[in-house]
Amino acid sequence: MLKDITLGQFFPGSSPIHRLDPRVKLVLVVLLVVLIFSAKNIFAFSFLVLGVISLVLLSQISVKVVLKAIRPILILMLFTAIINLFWTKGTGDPIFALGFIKVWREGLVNALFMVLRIVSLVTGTSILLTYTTSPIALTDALERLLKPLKVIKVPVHEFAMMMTIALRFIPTLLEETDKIINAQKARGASLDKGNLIDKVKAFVPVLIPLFISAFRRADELACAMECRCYRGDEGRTRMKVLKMGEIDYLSIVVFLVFTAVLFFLNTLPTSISVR
Amino acid sequence: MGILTLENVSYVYSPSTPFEKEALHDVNIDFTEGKITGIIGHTGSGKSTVAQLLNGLLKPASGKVLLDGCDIFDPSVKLSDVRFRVGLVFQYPEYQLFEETVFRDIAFGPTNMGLDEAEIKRRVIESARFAGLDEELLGRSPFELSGGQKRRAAIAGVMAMEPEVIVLDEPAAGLDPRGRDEILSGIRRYRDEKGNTVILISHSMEDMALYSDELVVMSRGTVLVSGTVDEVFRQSALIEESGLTLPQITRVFDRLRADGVNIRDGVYTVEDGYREMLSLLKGNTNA
Ligand SMILES: Nc1ncnc2c1ncn2[C@@H]1O[C@H](COP(=O)(O)OP(=O)(O)OP(=O)(O)O)[C@@H](O)[C@H]1O
Ligand SMILES: [Mg+2]
Repeated sequence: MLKDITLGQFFPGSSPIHRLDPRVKLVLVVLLVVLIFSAKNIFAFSFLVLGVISLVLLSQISVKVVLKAIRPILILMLFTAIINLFWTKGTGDPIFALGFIKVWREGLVNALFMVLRIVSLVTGTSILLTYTTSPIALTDALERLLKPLKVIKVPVHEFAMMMTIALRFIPTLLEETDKIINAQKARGASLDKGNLIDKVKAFVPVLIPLFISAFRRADELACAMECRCYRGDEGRTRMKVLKMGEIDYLSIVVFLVFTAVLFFLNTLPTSISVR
Repeated sequence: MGILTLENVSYVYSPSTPFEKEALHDVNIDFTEGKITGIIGHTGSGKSTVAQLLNGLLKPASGKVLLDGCDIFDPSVKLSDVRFRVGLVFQYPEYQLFEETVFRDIAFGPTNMGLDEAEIKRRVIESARFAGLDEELLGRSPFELSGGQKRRAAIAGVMAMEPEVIVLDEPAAGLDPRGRDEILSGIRRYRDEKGNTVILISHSMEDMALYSDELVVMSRGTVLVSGTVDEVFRQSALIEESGLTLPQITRVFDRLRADGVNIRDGVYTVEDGYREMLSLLKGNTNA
Protein backbone atom coordinates (compact mmCIF):
# COMPACT_ATOMS: atom_id res chain seq x y z
CA MET A 1 0.00 0.00 0.00
CA LEU A 2 1.06 3.53 -0.70
CA LYS A 3 0.71 4.48 2.90
CA ASP A 4 3.51 2.16 3.92
CA ILE A 5 6.06 4.54 2.44
CA THR A 6 7.69 6.02 5.49
CA LEU A 7 7.86 9.75 5.20
CA GLY A 8 10.30 11.52 7.41
CA GLN A 9 11.54 9.11 9.98
CA PHE A 10 10.43 10.63 13.21
CA PHE A 11 10.40 8.18 16.11
CA PRO A 12 8.49 9.76 18.96
CA GLY A 13 10.15 9.43 22.35
CA SER A 14 11.14 11.26 25.48
CA SER A 15 14.91 10.92 25.55
CA PRO A 16 17.06 13.97 26.41
CA ILE A 17 17.66 14.43 22.69
CA HIS A 18 13.95 14.40 21.95
CA ARG A 19 13.43 17.03 24.59
CA LEU A 20 16.02 19.44 23.24
CA ASP A 21 14.74 22.68 21.79
CA PRO A 22 14.58 22.13 18.02
CA ARG A 23 16.35 25.45 17.44
CA VAL A 24 19.27 24.27 19.54
CA LYS A 25 19.29 21.00 17.64
CA LEU A 26 19.37 22.76 14.29
CA VAL A 27 22.29 24.94 15.31
CA LEU A 28 24.14 22.05 16.91
CA VAL A 29 23.75 19.97 13.75
CA VAL A 30 25.35 22.67 11.67
CA LEU A 31 28.21 22.94 14.15
CA LEU A 32 28.56 19.17 14.28
CA VAL A 33 29.02 19.07 10.52
CA VAL A 34 31.80 21.65 10.84
CA LEU A 35 33.41 19.59 13.59
CA ILE A 36 33.25 16.41 11.55
CA PHE A 37 35.23 18.08 8.82
CA SER A 38 37.73 19.64 11.20
CA ALA A 39 38.85 16.36 12.74
CA LYS A 40 42.35 15.71 11.47
CA ASN A 41 44.09 12.91 13.32
CA ILE A 42 43.43 9.58 14.95
CA PHE A 43 42.83 11.11 18.39
CA ALA A 44 40.32 13.64 17.13
CA PHE A 45 38.51 11.01 15.07
CA SER A 46 38.31 8.54 17.94
CA PHE A 47 36.92 11.30 20.12
CA LEU A 48 34.39 12.22 17.44
CA VAL A 49 33.21 8.66 17.01
CA LEU A 50 32.87 8.41 20.78
CA GLY A 51 30.75 11.55 20.72
CA VAL A 52 28.47 10.22 17.98
CA ILE A 53 28.06 6.90 19.77
CA SER A 54 27.02 8.68 22.96
CA LEU A 55 24.50 10.67 20.92
CA VAL A 56 22.97 7.42 19.67
CA LEU A 57 22.87 6.01 23.19
CA LEU A 58 21.35 9.18 24.60
CA SER A 59 18.60 9.25 21.95
CA GLN A 60 17.46 5.70 22.82
CA ILE A 61 17.04 4.99 19.11
CA SER A 62 17.87 1.37 18.39
CA VAL A 63 21.12 0.63 16.60
CA LYS A 64 19.17 -1.30 14.00
CA VAL A 65 17.36 1.88 12.94
CA VAL A 66 20.64 3.77 12.71
CA LEU A 67 22.15 1.05 10.54
CA LYS A 68 19.11 1.33 8.30
CA ALA A 69 19.93 5.00 7.76
CA ILE A 70 23.47 4.11 6.78
CA ARG A 71 22.57 1.34 4.36
CA PRO A 72 21.54 3.58 1.42
CA ILE A 73 24.92 5.33 1.46
CA LEU A 74 27.02 2.16 1.53
CA ILE A 75 27.81 2.55 -2.16
CA LEU A 76 28.92 6.13 -1.65
CA MET A 77 31.13 5.02 1.22
CA LEU A 78 32.67 2.26 -0.83
CA PHE A 79 33.31 4.62 -3.71
CA THR A 80 34.94 7.23 -1.47
CA ALA A 81 37.06 4.61 0.21
CA ILE A 82 38.31 3.20 -3.10
CA ILE A 83 39.15 6.60 -4.52
CA ASN A 84 41.05 7.59 -1.43
CA LEU A 85 42.77 4.25 -1.23
CA PHE A 86 44.19 4.24 -4.74
CA TRP A 87 44.56 7.88 -5.60
CA THR A 88 46.41 9.12 -2.53
CA LYS A 89 50.12 9.29 -3.21
CA GLY A 90 52.26 8.96 -0.12
CA THR A 91 55.89 9.47 0.66
CA GLY A 92 58.18 6.48 0.99
CA ASP A 93 57.42 3.00 -0.29
CA PRO A 94 53.89 1.79 -1.02
CA ILE A 95 52.67 -0.93 1.36
CA PHE A 96 51.09 -2.79 -1.51
CA ALA A 97 51.86 -2.77 -5.19
CA LEU A 98 50.52 -4.73 -8.13
CA GLY A 99 51.54 -3.41 -11.50
CA PHE A 100 50.43 0.18 -11.68
CA ILE A 101 48.18 -0.15 -8.64
CA LYS A 102 49.98 1.16 -5.61
CA VAL A 103 48.57 1.69 -2.16
CA TRP A 104 50.34 3.89 0.34
CA ARG A 105 49.84 3.96 4.05
CA GLU A 106 48.45 7.49 3.71
CA GLY A 107 45.80 6.25 1.31
CA LEU A 108 44.63 3.67 3.79
CA VAL A 109 44.39 6.28 6.53
CA ASN A 110 42.54 8.72 4.29
CA ALA A 111 40.05 6.08 3.18
CA LEU A 112 39.34 5.08 6.76
CA PHE A 113 38.86 8.66 7.91
CA MET A 114 36.60 9.59 5.00
CA VAL A 115 34.34 6.63 5.72
CA LEU A 116 34.28 7.60 9.39
CA ARG A 117 33.29 11.12 8.40
CA ILE A 118 30.40 9.97 6.25
CA VAL A 119 29.11 7.60 8.91
CA SER A 120 29.30 10.24 11.63
CA LEU A 121 27.69 12.79 9.36
CA VAL A 122 24.68 10.62 8.57
CA THR A 123 24.34 9.22 12.06
CA GLY A 124 24.78 12.59 13.74
CA THR A 125 22.28 14.46 11.60
CA SER A 126 19.65 11.75 11.64
CA ILE A 127 19.91 11.25 15.39
CA LEU A 128 19.86 14.93 16.18
CA LEU A 129 17.28 15.93 13.61
CA THR A 130 15.16 13.52 11.60
CA TYR A 131 14.77 10.69 14.10
CA THR A 132 14.10 12.77 17.18
CA THR A 133 12.40 15.92 15.91
CA SER A 134 8.89 16.02 14.48
CA PRO A 135 8.72 17.76 11.10
CA ILE A 136 6.36 20.31 12.61
CA ALA A 137 8.81 21.21 15.38
CA LEU A 138 11.52 21.48 12.76
CA THR A 139 9.64 23.97 10.59
CA ASP A 140 8.76 25.90 13.71
CA ALA A 141 12.42 26.11 14.66
CA LEU A 142 13.38 27.10 11.13
CA GLU A 143 10.84 29.89 11.19
CA ARG A 144 12.27 31.22 14.43
CA LEU A 145 15.84 31.01 13.30
CA LEU A 146 15.13 32.66 9.95
CA LYS A 147 13.03 35.42 11.46
CA PRO A 148 15.74 38.05 10.99
CA LEU A 149 15.30 37.60 7.23
CA LYS A 150 11.95 39.33 7.52
CA VAL A 151 13.83 42.59 7.58
CA ILE A 152 14.68 42.03 3.93
CA LYS A 153 11.05 41.10 3.19
CA VAL A 154 11.40 37.33 3.02
CA PRO A 155 7.97 35.90 3.97
CA VAL A 156 9.43 33.50 6.51
CA HIS A 157 6.21 32.87 8.37
CA GLU A 158 4.24 32.10 5.22
CA PHE A 159 6.86 29.67 3.99
CA ALA A 160 6.92 27.90 7.33
CA MET A 161 3.12 27.74 7.40
CA MET A 162 3.00 26.30 3.90
CA MET A 163 5.55 23.71 4.81
CA THR A 164 3.69 22.75 7.97
CA ILE A 165 0.42 22.36 6.08
CA ALA A 166 2.07 20.35 3.32
CA LEU A 167 3.69 18.03 5.83
CA ARG A 168 0.44 17.63 7.67
CA PHE A 169 -1.45 16.63 4.53
CA ILE A 170 0.99 14.20 2.95
CA PRO A 171 -0.24 11.18 4.92
CA THR A 172 -3.86 12.25 4.47
CA LEU A 173 -3.53 12.51 0.71
CA LEU A 174 -1.66 9.21 0.50
CA GLU A 175 -4.43 7.51 2.41
CA GLU A 176 -7.01 9.12 0.17
CA THR A 177 -5.17 8.01 -2.97
CA ASP A 178 -5.19 4.50 -1.62
CA LYS A 179 -8.92 4.63 -0.99
CA ILE A 180 -9.73 6.01 -4.42
CA ILE A 181 -7.54 3.45 -6.17
CA ASN A 182 -9.35 0.69 -4.30
CA ALA A 183 -12.76 2.12 -5.08
CA GLN A 184 -11.99 2.32 -8.80
CA LYS A 185 -10.47 -1.15 -8.80
CA ALA A 186 -13.71 -2.39 -7.29
CA ARG A 187 -15.43 -0.99 -10.37
CA GLY A 188 -13.14 -2.95 -12.60
CA ALA A 189 -10.58 -0.26 -13.42
CA SER A 190 -7.27 -1.86 -14.38
CA LEU A 191 -4.48 0.47 -13.43
CA ASP A 192 -1.49 -1.52 -14.56
CA LYS A 193 -2.29 -2.92 -17.98
CA GLY A 194 -1.34 -1.84 -21.47
CA ASN A 195 1.27 0.61 -22.69
CA LEU A 196 2.25 3.89 -21.10
CA ILE A 197 -0.57 5.90 -22.64
CA ASP A 198 -3.13 3.34 -21.48
CA LYS A 199 -1.68 3.50 -18.01
CA VAL A 200 -1.82 7.29 -17.89
CA LYS A 201 -5.40 7.18 -19.14
CA ALA A 202 -6.26 4.56 -16.57
CA PHE A 203 -5.18 6.96 -13.86
CA VAL A 204 -7.70 9.63 -14.79
CA PRO A 205 -10.39 8.04 -12.58
CA VAL A 206 -7.93 8.29 -9.69
CA LEU A 207 -6.48 11.73 -10.35
CA ILE A 208 -9.72 13.62 -10.85
CA PRO A 209 -11.28 12.66 -7.51
CA LEU A 210 -7.92 13.18 -5.84
CA PHE A 211 -7.51 16.70 -7.18
CA ILE A 212 -11.07 17.55 -6.36
CA SER A 213 -10.70 16.39 -2.83
CA ALA A 214 -7.35 18.17 -2.45
CA PHE A 215 -8.89 21.42 -3.63
CA ARG A 216 -11.89 20.89 -1.43
CA ARG A 217 -9.63 20.30 1.56
CA ALA A 218 -7.57 23.38 0.77
CA ASP A 219 -10.74 25.39 0.52
CA GLU A 220 -12.12 24.07 3.77
CA LEU A 221 -8.84 24.59 5.55
CA ALA A 222 -8.56 28.18 4.32
CA CYS A 223 -12.10 28.78 5.45
CA ALA A 224 -11.49 27.24 8.85
CA MET A 225 -8.34 29.30 9.31
CA GLU A 226 -10.13 32.46 8.35
CA CYS A 227 -13.00 31.67 10.71
CA ARG A 228 -10.46 31.50 13.49
CA CYS A 229 -9.13 34.88 12.45
CA TYR A 230 -5.85 33.72 11.00
CA ARG A 231 -4.15 36.69 9.40
CA GLY A 232 -0.54 35.70 9.13
CA ASP A 233 2.23 36.39 11.53
CA GLU A 234 0.95 39.66 12.93
CA GLY A 235 0.18 39.46 16.62
CA ARG A 236 0.05 35.67 16.54
CA THR A 237 0.95 33.84 19.71
CA ARG A 238 1.86 30.20 19.92
CA MET A 239 0.47 27.25 21.73
CA LYS A 240 3.89 25.67 22.06
CA VAL A 241 6.29 28.47 22.88
CA LEU A 242 9.83 27.34 22.27
CA LYS A 243 11.74 27.97 25.43
CA MET A 244 15.30 27.15 26.22
CA GLY A 245 15.60 25.07 29.36
CA GLU A 246 18.41 23.74 31.51
CA ILE A 247 18.92 20.80 29.23
CA ASP A 248 19.43 23.11 26.26
CA TYR A 249 22.03 25.28 28.00
CA LEU A 250 23.72 22.17 29.32
CA SER A 251 23.94 20.64 25.88
CA ILE A 252 25.41 23.82 24.46
CA VAL A 253 28.07 23.85 27.15
CA VAL A 254 28.82 20.17 26.60
CA PHE A 255 29.08 20.78 22.91
CA LEU A 256 31.48 23.69 23.38
CA VAL A 257 33.68 21.63 25.69
CA PHE A 258 33.58 18.83 23.15
CA THR A 259 34.68 21.22 20.42
CA ALA A 260 37.54 22.54 22.53
CA VAL A 261 38.79 19.05 23.34
CA LEU A 262 38.55 18.03 19.70
CA PHE A 263 40.61 20.97 18.53
CA PHE A 264 43.15 20.27 21.23
CA LEU A 265 43.42 16.61 20.14
CA ASN A 266 43.90 17.83 16.58
CA THR A 267 47.16 19.49 17.63
CA LEU A 268 48.67 16.35 19.20
CA PRO A 269 51.57 14.98 17.19
CA THR A 270 50.85 11.68 15.47
CA SER A 271 51.69 10.12 12.17
CA ILE A 272 48.14 8.82 11.66
CA SER A 273 46.40 11.88 10.30
CA VAL A 274 44.61 13.14 7.24
CA ARG A 275 46.80 14.89 4.77
CA MET B 1 -22.24 -23.82 1.78
CA GLY B 2 -23.22 -20.32 0.65
CA ILE B 3 -22.07 -18.36 -2.34
CA LEU B 4 -19.33 -16.50 -0.51
CA THR B 5 -17.43 -17.88 2.44
CA LEU B 6 -14.69 -16.65 4.75
CA GLU B 7 -12.76 -19.58 6.18
CA ASN B 8 -10.55 -18.97 9.23
CA VAL B 9 -9.57 -15.59 7.85
CA SER B 10 -7.13 -13.36 9.68
CA TYR B 11 -5.88 -10.00 8.49
CA VAL B 12 -3.03 -7.81 9.68
CA TYR B 13 -2.48 -4.19 8.61
CA SER B 14 1.12 -3.02 8.07
CA PRO B 15 2.67 -6.35 9.10
CA SER B 16 6.18 -6.30 10.62
CA THR B 17 6.26 -2.55 11.18
CA PRO B 18 5.79 -0.63 14.43
CA PHE B 19 2.22 0.05 13.25
CA GLU B 20 1.27 -3.62 12.94
CA LYS B 21 -2.39 -4.17 13.75
CA GLU B 22 -4.38 -7.37 13.66
CA ALA B 23 -7.76 -6.30 12.32
CA LEU B 24 -9.35 -9.74 11.95
CA HIS B 25 -8.71 -12.92 13.84
CA ASP B 26 -9.95 -16.31 12.68
CA VAL B 27 -13.17 -15.11 11.08
CA ASN B 28 -15.67 -17.60 9.65
CA ILE B 29 -18.68 -16.30 7.79
CA ASP B 30 -20.94 -18.03 5.29
CA PHE B 31 -23.08 -15.78 3.11
CA THR B 32 -26.25 -17.38 1.81
CA GLU B 33 -27.15 -16.89 -1.84
CA GLY B 34 -30.03 -14.54 -2.56
CA LYS B 35 -30.26 -13.26 1.01
CA ILE B 36 -29.49 -9.89 2.53
CA THR B 37 -26.87 -10.49 5.18
CA GLY B 38 -26.15 -7.68 7.58
CA ILE B 39 -22.75 -7.21 9.16
CA ILE B 40 -22.94 -5.13 12.27
CA GLY B 41 -20.37 -4.13 14.85
CA HIS B 42 -18.85 -1.37 16.87
CA THR B 43 -16.46 1.15 15.25
CA GLY B 44 -13.17 -0.55 14.46
CA SER B 45 -14.54 -4.07 14.78
CA GLY B 46 -13.31 -4.98 11.30
CA LYS B 47 -16.40 -4.63 9.12
CA SER B 48 -14.74 -2.63 6.37
CA THR B 49 -11.80 -4.99 6.42
CA VAL B 50 -14.15 -7.91 5.81
CA ALA B 51 -15.73 -5.98 2.93
CA GLN B 52 -12.39 -5.49 1.21
CA LEU B 53 -11.42 -9.11 1.72
CA LEU B 54 -14.59 -10.28 0.00
CA ASN B 55 -13.60 -8.95 -3.42
CA GLY B 56 -9.89 -9.50 -3.12
CA LEU B 57 -8.76 -5.94 -2.52
CA LEU B 58 -7.05 -7.23 0.60
CA LYS B 59 -5.39 -10.61 0.81
CA PRO B 60 -5.95 -12.55 4.02
CA ALA B 61 -2.86 -13.13 6.17
CA SER B 62 -4.18 -16.64 6.68
CA GLY B 63 -7.35 -18.48 5.76
CA LYS B 64 -9.37 -18.46 2.57
CA VAL B 65 -12.05 -16.47 0.79
CA LEU B 66 -14.21 -18.82 -1.24
CA LEU B 67 -16.49 -17.65 -4.03
CA ASP B 68 -18.74 -20.49 -5.18
CA GLY B 69 -16.31 -22.82 -3.49
CA CYS B 70 -13.20 -21.50 -5.30
CA ASP B 71 -10.41 -19.73 -3.47
CA ILE B 72 -10.31 -16.26 -5.03
CA PHE B 73 -6.54 -16.09 -4.61
CA ASP B 74 -6.02 -19.33 -6.48
CA PRO B 75 -3.63 -18.60 -9.38
CA SER B 76 -6.21 -19.92 -11.85
CA VAL B 77 -8.80 -17.34 -10.77
CA LYS B 78 -8.61 -13.89 -12.33
CA LEU B 79 -9.00 -11.23 -9.70
CA SER B 80 -10.68 -8.84 -12.14
CA ASP B 81 -13.41 -11.45 -12.66
CA VAL B 82 -13.86 -11.70 -8.92
CA ARG B 83 -14.29 -7.92 -8.75
CA PHE B 84 -17.02 -8.08 -11.39
CA ARG B 85 -18.78 -10.88 -9.56
CA VAL B 86 -18.46 -9.30 -6.11
CA GLY B 87 -19.27 -5.60 -6.26
CA LEU B 88 -18.12 -3.38 -3.42
CA VAL B 89 -19.54 0.00 -2.48
CA PHE B 90 -17.09 1.65 -0.11
CA GLN B 91 -17.87 3.56 3.03
CA TYR B 92 -18.45 7.18 1.89
CA PRO B 93 -18.25 6.30 -1.82
CA GLU B 94 -18.96 9.86 -2.98
CA TYR B 95 -15.29 10.60 -3.57
CA GLN B 96 -14.91 8.06 -6.36
CA LEU B 97 -17.03 10.00 -8.88
CA PHE B 98 -14.96 11.45 -11.69
CA GLU B 99 -16.77 11.45 -15.04
CA GLU B 100 -18.31 14.38 -16.87
CA THR B 101 -21.84 13.21 -16.33
CA VAL B 102 -23.54 11.04 -13.80
CA PHE B 103 -24.60 8.71 -16.60
CA ARG B 104 -21.03 8.12 -17.71
CA ASP B 105 -19.88 7.65 -14.16
CA ILE B 106 -22.45 4.94 -13.49
CA ALA B 107 -21.45 3.41 -16.83
CA PHE B 108 -17.78 3.19 -15.82
CA GLY B 109 -18.09 -0.29 -14.27
CA PRO B 110 -20.22 -1.85 -17.05
CA THR B 111 -17.88 -0.31 -19.65
CA ASN B 112 -14.90 -1.95 -17.96
CA MET B 113 -16.80 -5.21 -18.26
CA GLY B 114 -16.89 -4.75 -22.03
CA LEU B 115 -20.69 -4.69 -22.43
CA ASP B 116 -22.34 -3.22 -25.51
CA GLU B 117 -23.87 0.22 -25.49
CA ALA B 118 -27.54 -0.75 -25.37
CA GLU B 119 -26.94 -3.05 -22.41
CA ILE B 120 -24.94 -0.38 -20.62
CA LYS B 121 -27.71 2.13 -21.10
CA ARG B 122 -30.32 -0.28 -19.80
CA ARG B 123 -28.25 -1.03 -16.73
CA VAL B 124 -27.47 2.60 -15.96
CA ILE B 125 -31.11 3.59 -16.05
CA GLU B 126 -32.22 0.57 -14.08
CA SER B 127 -29.61 0.95 -11.34
CA ALA B 128 -30.26 4.68 -11.06
CA ARG B 129 -33.85 3.74 -10.37
CA PHE B 130 -32.86 1.23 -7.68
CA ALA B 131 -30.59 3.78 -6.04
CA GLY B 132 -33.37 6.36 -6.11
CA LEU B 133 -31.67 8.76 -8.49
CA ASP B 134 -33.93 10.89 -10.71
CA GLU B 135 -33.40 10.23 -14.38
CA GLU B 136 -33.01 13.93 -15.11
CA LEU B 137 -29.90 14.00 -12.91
CA LEU B 138 -28.10 11.56 -15.20
CA GLY B 139 -27.08 14.32 -17.60
CA ARG B 140 -25.57 16.50 -14.89
CA SER B 141 -22.00 16.67 -13.67
CA PRO B 142 -21.57 14.46 -10.60
CA PHE B 143 -19.94 17.37 -8.82
CA GLU B 144 -23.14 19.38 -8.95
CA LEU B 145 -25.06 16.81 -6.95
CA SER B 146 -25.85 17.02 -3.27
CA GLY B 147 -24.06 14.69 -0.87
CA GLY B 148 -26.96 12.24 -0.75
CA GLN B 149 -27.36 12.25 -4.52
CA LYS B 150 -23.63 11.60 -4.96
CA ARG B 151 -23.98 8.64 -2.63
CA ARG B 152 -26.81 7.26 -4.74
CA ALA B 153 -24.82 7.75 -7.92
CA ALA B 154 -21.90 5.84 -6.42
CA ILE B 155 -24.16 2.99 -5.31
CA ALA B 156 -25.75 2.87 -8.75
CA GLY B 157 -22.26 2.71 -10.24
CA VAL B 158 -21.66 -0.63 -8.56
CA MET B 159 -25.21 -1.97 -8.98
CA ALA B 160 -24.90 -1.36 -12.73
CA MET B 161 -22.27 -4.08 -12.90
CA GLU B 162 -24.99 -6.46 -11.65
CA PRO B 163 -22.58 -8.42 -9.50
CA GLU B 164 -23.71 -11.75 -8.09
CA VAL B 165 -22.87 -10.41 -4.67
CA ILE B 166 -23.00 -6.73 -3.80
CA VAL B 167 -21.30 -5.53 -0.64
CA LEU B 168 -22.38 -2.13 0.67
CA ASP B 169 -20.29 -0.57 3.42
CA GLU B 170 -22.52 1.78 5.42
CA PRO B 171 -24.58 2.87 2.42
CA ALA B 172 -26.84 5.02 4.56
CA ALA B 173 -24.31 6.57 6.96
CA GLY B 174 -24.79 10.27 7.49
CA LEU B 175 -28.09 10.58 5.64
CA ASP B 176 -31.42 11.82 6.92
CA PRO B 177 -33.97 9.16 8.00
CA ARG B 178 -35.94 9.46 4.79
CA GLY B 179 -32.80 9.18 2.66
CA ARG B 180 -31.76 6.11 4.65
CA ASP B 181 -35.07 4.42 4.06
CA GLU B 182 -35.06 5.23 0.37
CA ILE B 183 -31.58 3.87 -0.19
CA LEU B 184 -32.05 0.76 1.91
CA SER B 185 -35.42 -0.12 0.45
CA GLY B 186 -33.96 0.48 -3.01
CA ILE B 187 -31.30 -2.04 -2.18
CA ARG B 188 -33.93 -4.51 -1.09
CA ARG B 189 -35.93 -3.98 -4.26
CA TYR B 190 -32.74 -4.64 -6.21
CA ARG B 191 -32.36 -7.94 -4.38
CA ASP B 192 -36.01 -8.87 -4.83
CA GLU B 193 -36.00 -8.20 -8.57
CA LYS B 194 -32.55 -9.51 -9.42
CA GLY B 195 -32.28 -12.24 -6.83
CA ASN B 196 -28.65 -11.26 -6.18
CA THR B 197 -26.96 -11.66 -2.85
CA VAL B 198 -26.56 -8.51 -0.78
CA ILE B 199 -24.17 -7.89 2.09
CA LEU B 200 -25.04 -4.82 4.09
CA ILE B 201 -22.73 -3.24 6.63
CA SER B 202 -24.19 -0.92 9.21
CA HIS B 203 -24.04 0.44 12.71
CA SER B 204 -27.74 0.62 13.11
CA MET B 205 -29.58 -2.27 14.70
CA GLU B 206 -32.89 -0.73 13.63
CA ASP B 207 -31.91 -0.71 9.96
CA MET B 208 -30.58 -4.21 10.20
CA ALA B 209 -33.72 -5.55 11.81
CA LEU B 210 -35.76 -3.95 9.08
CA TYR B 211 -33.76 -4.86 6.00
CA SER B 212 -31.67 -7.97 6.51
CA ASP B 213 -32.50 -11.67 6.56
CA GLU B 214 -29.36 -12.81 8.33
CA LEU B 215 -26.99 -11.07 10.67
CA VAL B 216 -23.33 -11.29 11.58
CA VAL B 217 -22.26 -9.42 14.70
CA MET B 218 -18.58 -8.53 14.84
CA SER B 219 -16.56 -7.45 17.81
CA ARG B 220 -12.86 -6.65 18.00
CA GLY B 221 -11.97 -8.50 14.83
CA THR B 222 -13.95 -11.67 15.47
CA VAL B 223 -17.46 -12.89 14.79
CA LEU B 224 -19.50 -12.73 17.97
CA VAL B 225 -22.78 -14.26 16.78
CA SER B 226 -24.32 -15.02 13.43
CA GLY B 227 -27.58 -16.45 12.18
CA THR B 228 -31.04 -15.23 11.27
CA VAL B 229 -32.14 -11.90 12.69
CA ASP B 230 -34.25 -13.69 15.26
CA GLU B 231 -31.48 -16.02 16.38
CA VAL B 232 -29.03 -13.18 16.75
CA PHE B 233 -31.30 -10.77 18.60
CA ARG B 234 -32.13 -13.43 21.17
CA GLN B 235 -28.51 -13.27 22.31
CA SER B 236 -29.08 -9.84 23.77
CA ALA B 237 -26.48 -10.21 26.53
CA LEU B 238 -23.71 -10.99 24.03
CA ILE B 239 -24.72 -8.13 21.78
CA GLU B 240 -24.77 -5.53 24.51
CA GLU B 241 -21.38 -6.74 25.65
CA SER B 242 -19.96 -5.92 22.23
CA GLY B 243 -20.91 -2.28 22.67
CA LEU B 244 -24.04 -2.43 20.51
CA THR B 245 -27.59 -2.12 21.66
CA LEU B 246 -30.68 -3.93 20.50
CA PRO B 247 -33.24 -1.85 18.61
CA GLN B 248 -34.96 0.64 20.88
CA ILE B 249 -38.36 -0.92 20.30
CA THR B 250 -37.04 -4.32 21.38
CA ARG B 251 -35.72 -2.83 24.58
CA VAL B 252 -39.03 -1.10 25.26
CA PHE B 253 -40.88 -4.38 24.79
CA ASP B 254 -38.38 -6.32 26.91
CA ARG B 255 -38.87 -3.83 29.68
CA LEU B 256 -42.66 -4.00 29.41
CA ARG B 257 -42.50 -7.77 29.55
CA ALA B 258 -40.26 -7.59 32.60
CA ASP B 259 -42.93 -5.40 34.19
CA GLY B 260 -45.47 -8.13 33.64
CA VAL B 261 -47.22 -6.89 30.50
CA ASN B 262 -48.32 -9.84 28.43
CA ILE B 263 -46.63 -9.30 25.06
CA ARG B 264 -44.53 -11.58 22.91
CA ASP B 265 -40.79 -11.21 22.46
CA GLY B 266 -39.03 -11.01 19.13
CA VAL B 267 -40.24 -7.53 18.25
CA TYR B 268 -37.46 -5.79 16.35
CA THR B 269 -39.09 -3.17 14.19
CA VAL B 270 -41.33 -0.26 15.04
CA GLU B 271 -43.86 -1.56 12.52
CA ASP B 272 -43.99 -4.89 14.35
CA GLY B 273 -44.22 -3.17 17.71
CA TYR B 274 -47.05 -0.99 16.51
CA ARG B 275 -49.09 -4.00 15.45
CA GLU B 276 -48.33 -5.86 18.64
CA MET B 277 -49.29 -2.86 20.73
CA LEU B 278 -52.50 -2.42 18.78
CA SER B 279 -53.61 -6.01 19.28
CA LEU B 280 -52.72 -5.75 22.96
CA LEU B 281 -54.86 -2.62 23.39
CA LYS B 282 -57.71 -4.19 21.47
CA GLY B 283 -57.43 -7.26 23.63
CA ASN B 284 -57.65 -5.09 26.72
CA THR B 285 -60.74 -3.20 25.60
CA ASN B 286 -62.40 -6.44 24.56
CA ALA B 287 -61.85 -7.94 27.93
N1 LIG C 1 -5.30 1.03 6.52
C1 LIG C 1 -5.20 0.65 7.79
N2 LIG C 1 -4.00 0.57 8.40
C2 LIG C 1 -3.88 0.18 9.68
N3 LIG C 1 -4.93 -0.19 10.45
C3 LIG C 1 -6.14 -0.15 9.91
C4 LIG C 1 -6.35 0.27 8.55
N4 LIG C 1 -7.68 0.21 8.29
C5 LIG C 1 -8.26 -0.22 9.42
N5 LIG C 1 -7.35 -0.44 10.40
C6 LIG C 1 -7.63 -0.93 11.76
O1 LIG C 1 -8.27 -2.18 11.65
C7 LIG C 1 -9.37 -2.27 12.53
C8 LIG C 1 -10.63 -2.59 11.77
O2 LIG C 1 -10.93 -1.52 10.90
P1 LIG C 1 -12.22 -1.46 9.98
O3 LIG C 1 -12.06 -0.28 9.07
O4 LIG C 1 -12.42 -2.79 9.35
O5 LIG C 1 -13.36 -1.16 11.06
P2 LIG C 1 -14.94 -0.96 10.82
O6 LIG C 1 -15.61 -2.03 11.58
O7 LIG C 1 -15.23 -0.79 9.39
O8 LIG C 1 -15.18 0.42 11.58
P3 LIG C 1 -16.21 1.61 11.22
O9 LIG C 1 -17.53 1.20 11.71
O10 LIG C 1 -15.69 2.78 11.99
O11 LIG C 1 -16.14 1.83 9.74
C9 LIG C 1 -9.43 -0.94 13.26
O12 LIG C 1 -8.90 -1.13 14.55
C10 LIG C 1 -8.57 -0.01 12.47
O13 LIG C 1 -7.88 0.86 13.32
MG1 LIG D 1 -15.89 0.77 8.21
